[in-house]
Amino acid sequence: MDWIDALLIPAIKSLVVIVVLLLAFAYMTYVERKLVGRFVRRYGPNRAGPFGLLQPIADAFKAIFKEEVIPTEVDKWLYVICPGIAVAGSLIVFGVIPVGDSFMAWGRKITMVVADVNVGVLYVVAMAGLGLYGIFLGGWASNNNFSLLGALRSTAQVITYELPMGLAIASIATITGSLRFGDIIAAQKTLPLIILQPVGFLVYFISGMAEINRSPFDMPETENELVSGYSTEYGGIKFAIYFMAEYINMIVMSILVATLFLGGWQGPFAHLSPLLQLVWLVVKAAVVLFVFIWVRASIPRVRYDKWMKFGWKFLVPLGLANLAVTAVVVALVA
Amino acid sequence: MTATPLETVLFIAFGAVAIAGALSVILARHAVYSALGMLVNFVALAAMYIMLSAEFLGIAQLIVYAGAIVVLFLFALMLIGGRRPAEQGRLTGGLAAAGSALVVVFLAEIAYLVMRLTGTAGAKGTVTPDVIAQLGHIQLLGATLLLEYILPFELASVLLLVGIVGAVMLARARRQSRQE
Amino acid sequence: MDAIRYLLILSAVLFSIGAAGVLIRRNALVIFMCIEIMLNAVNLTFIALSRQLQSLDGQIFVFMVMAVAAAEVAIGLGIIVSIFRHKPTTDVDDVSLLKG
Repeated sequence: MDWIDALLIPAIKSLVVIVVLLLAFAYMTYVERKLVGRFVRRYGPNRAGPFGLLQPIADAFKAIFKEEVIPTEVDKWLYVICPGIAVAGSLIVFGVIPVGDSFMAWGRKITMVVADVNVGVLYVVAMAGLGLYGIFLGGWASNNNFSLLGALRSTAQVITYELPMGLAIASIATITGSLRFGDIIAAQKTLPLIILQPVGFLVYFISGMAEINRSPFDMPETENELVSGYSTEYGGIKFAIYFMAEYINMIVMSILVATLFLGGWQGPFAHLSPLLQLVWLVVKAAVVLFVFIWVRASIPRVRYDKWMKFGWKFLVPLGLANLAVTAVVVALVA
Repeated sequence: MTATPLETVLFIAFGAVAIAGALSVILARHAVYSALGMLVNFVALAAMYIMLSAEFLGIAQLIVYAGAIVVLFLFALMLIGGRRPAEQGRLTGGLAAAGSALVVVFLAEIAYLVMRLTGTAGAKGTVTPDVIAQLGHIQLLGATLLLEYILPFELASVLLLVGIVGAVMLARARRQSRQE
Repeated sequence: MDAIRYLLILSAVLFSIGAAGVLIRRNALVIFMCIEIMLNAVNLTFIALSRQLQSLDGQIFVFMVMAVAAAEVAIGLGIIVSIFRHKPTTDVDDVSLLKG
């Protein structure tokens, strides 16, 4: 034993996850620009390469070769490190999400998850909280009032919407009896949880969009009030890394929704091949991502105070009521 | 309790990180860096809890302490003027030396007592790490909490309710005084 | 040195650092942070001994300490901010009006 099982395989899996997520991020920006363009009857990027497919690569080169500017009055150490914290927080979440069952390779059974831990869902909540420090401290370190306001808003929003999210997760845990992703997926073998938990799904979906700071709930940025929020003072590669964190958060959130409510990697014929399981998960996540982009293109940004009120006065009570009803029904049925 | 070499190395590493974090809380020039040191300390302790097979408490430590309490501290710091360095920071001279001396004496006493421990006193329970790995820490802790310690559990929820009401009252008082 | 001793000493060191902070620092927020460090040191003791004694009873205390700490921080920081609005200082020695 094996250091191969203990260290090498998790290391390789982590590397694969990171590389795939970074690539997915690059093309996510392309897909979003293309789709938003279509929603408002534009073409979207179509110059670099066929159908504009090389656009993300051009963007990456542009960001890398931009001059590194560090404003004089910033807190240098934090200013430089914060984009890294943000992106690490969003990458690390992926470690507990299974993308398939398991397969045999070179005589070893390889599970398609970095670590399926007993408290997986809680781990996701905890790590999302840590990634928030990247935004919060970055906004503070910029020494700019707009940045600070954006950072404070972002923090308040994430803390607020963590509550309904936690309540939705608690409802899931009440039904499946476990917080391990493997068990939650197994419990959806016949029926995805979205059918048993429509209200929970709604609560989770809305608070998920708030957690990842997506428009129309992108309070930390709000160009028309706060210039560009927490990232006002950031440019070049550092801004690109913040951007990356945001998109990876979005991808991870879509996979979370697919796993928690849509049955994860399961689907017709999924037991035939691990590749097919992966395809099912990607298809489900893509549907969720499309809805995210659709909402962004259709709904104007809400006002900040109204948005906070909505969270505290509507979503939290709704989540509580859902949890109470779920608990009673589970107690009666079981 | 015996530890494998890997565990020993991790324990020492996380211990060192926790101590470094705690030290930077009291030594940092700026209160925001103090809060960061506290965050580092909490995360290192959470890792330690998980290694001691208290997974749920480790994650709860991350959510409650690292995710909520440090954020609240930072919020308070920003509200009362985050940019200014913590000028009025610390005592100097004789008083500080006296305080440090007191703490060193206390630490020496504890270290002496711990070293004198003979170890195996007291009856051992049945919840070995193997049992926890098999049944799950959340399940075991939940059963203990809701079957044996239901009264403290309910009292804790009352306490949290009082906390919420108190926080709302503080905020309301502030708003009213502004209106006057 | 076996693990339990190492953990107990570590927790004593953390507790002492927290105590030293409370004695030396004068910024109310930093003092508050040091109290949190001390609470955490005690939590570590509880969890280490719970593992040693193979019983979960100690971990119930940790659970309670977390609940208390959350309530305490919410109220405590509210009070500190209120004081600051009344008198713009965070130095505990400046808030001595009740001394008469």
